[in-house]
Amino acid sequence: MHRLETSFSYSDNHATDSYIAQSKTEHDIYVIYRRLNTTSNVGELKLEREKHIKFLERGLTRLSGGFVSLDASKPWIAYWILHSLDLLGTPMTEDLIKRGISTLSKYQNSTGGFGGGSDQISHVAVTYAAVNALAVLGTQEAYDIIDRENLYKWLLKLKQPDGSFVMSEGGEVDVRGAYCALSVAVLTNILTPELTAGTAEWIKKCQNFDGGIGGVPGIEAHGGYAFCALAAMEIMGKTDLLDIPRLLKWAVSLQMSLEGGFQGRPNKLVDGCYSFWVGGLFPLIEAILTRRQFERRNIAGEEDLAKFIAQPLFDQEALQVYILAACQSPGGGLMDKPYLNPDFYHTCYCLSGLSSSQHHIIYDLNGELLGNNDESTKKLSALEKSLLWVEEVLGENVVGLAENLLRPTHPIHNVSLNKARSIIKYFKEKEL
Amino acid sequence: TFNLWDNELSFVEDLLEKDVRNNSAWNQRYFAIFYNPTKPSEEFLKKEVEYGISKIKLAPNNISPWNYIKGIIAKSNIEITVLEELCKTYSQSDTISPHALGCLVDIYEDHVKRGLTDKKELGIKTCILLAEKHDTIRK
Repeated sequence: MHRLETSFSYSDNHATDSYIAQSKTEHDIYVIYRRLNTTSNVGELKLEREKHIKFLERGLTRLSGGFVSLDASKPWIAYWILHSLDLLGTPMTEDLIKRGISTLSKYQNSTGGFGGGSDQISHVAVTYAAVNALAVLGTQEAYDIIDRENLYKWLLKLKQPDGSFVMSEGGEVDVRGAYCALSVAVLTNILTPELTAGTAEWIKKCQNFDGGIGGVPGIEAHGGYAFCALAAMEIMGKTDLLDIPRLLKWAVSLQMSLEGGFQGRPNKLVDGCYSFWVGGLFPLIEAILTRRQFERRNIAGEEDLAKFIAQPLFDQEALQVYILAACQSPGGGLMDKPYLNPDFYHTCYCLSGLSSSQHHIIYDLNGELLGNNDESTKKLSALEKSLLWVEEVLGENVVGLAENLLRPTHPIHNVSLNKARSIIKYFKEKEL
Repeated sequence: TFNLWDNELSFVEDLLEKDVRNNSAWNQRYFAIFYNPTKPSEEFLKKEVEYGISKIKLAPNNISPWNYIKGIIAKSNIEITVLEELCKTYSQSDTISPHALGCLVDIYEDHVKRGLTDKKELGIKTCILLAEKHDTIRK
């Protein structure tokens, strides 16, 4: 907090609209932080679990008329709410699971994939949300409703000759397509070389001159797309195609000096959801750098590995202070920034970002080495690699009260670690 | 073609006149130059660096033109050391920009890569300056 007064952006005697908007945001947040400094200390910051749980549970029974704008995003609403509840440690009741299965199964199309609602054509983003929601529900019945065979056929239809994926048949191309397709493919064990052919090379083209990654080649770098790109590359084991140091520099530049949260693009405003989209880049980048260091030194043996584990490369405390002090709505739910309304999307991603910065989730290189030593000496599959993300023992970093600690989330799929492992292990045994 | 590319740069100029911090406009400028079927000449790129520098002078704490210039340099034969004087200007006590300091570190890193290790100390000192005073969130 001591850095408050010196952290305001400079006008450089050249105020423009961007500067004015930024300045206003900074002042709103300054007032909050100032109060924090004087009335209590950061150690007393509290995540209002009960309020958020009530807010989320209300959304599962009743949505107001305004939600008609999300009529094509019903699986997203399910995922945002269920994942948030799960991070908060809420158990999935039998009734909830039954309802969830019944509802989501109605959105699946016989031709493969899920649509935004009944009688809507399949779309890869809501398919991602539906599969993730089913993973959170976490039972065999939930997993079994996924029609894997047709899902695979449909994903192949979305695949373009240049390696990219469209979001739906006849829809637009962007890097979210690749991420959503590959993430569900890993969780349901339908990832094949045919599905990933050329995709890494296409994603590489999306990396921009400033080190960030955009939605399609040439488009402005953006936090959301950057996460999708990096996570997809990690699934494919092709992160070496990206310029990771420059991506890191770009990601790091997006943390706001005063606010502590992340912006989605340079010169834009802070937003709680980037706590995950940008904040979530770091566990992946740290794992990549750790791997590279390890390969360079070529050392075997568990004692030595610990030396190479990269430490958090951004200011985790500042991010958590932003989420806890500026993004919690008094009536429950979390939001983009102060004075805006909370919603399920921001609740999901603020909590995901909070979780991601509280835990140190690392890639178990040791486990990979052991896996590689079996008789077949084949390299680990993407599924097996997804299972290798673990919490570093004693690696937690919780700002505020100790009970603010959330369940850990999987750095690639963004469902809690245990739920991700459970669904992967279930489908791992099943052939296509 | 339909001459769609011809007016892009002047369109971007207008956007940047209105707001030099418009990151999307800077991206569009890069796109209009490098995704253009006609490849840019070295001369043209040198002018772009000068254009970027002129915009930095308007608001040295604006990160967009710093990113832009580094992007141009990476795709040309121009050396990053051309920015050294600019960086030093904005490393003085009354007009400090963390982007200038950051760029200095890049320049020193470039020196070191080419075997001129004398700048290593200076590079480390600059990082410490950034971490402790001018860009503490990124320590």
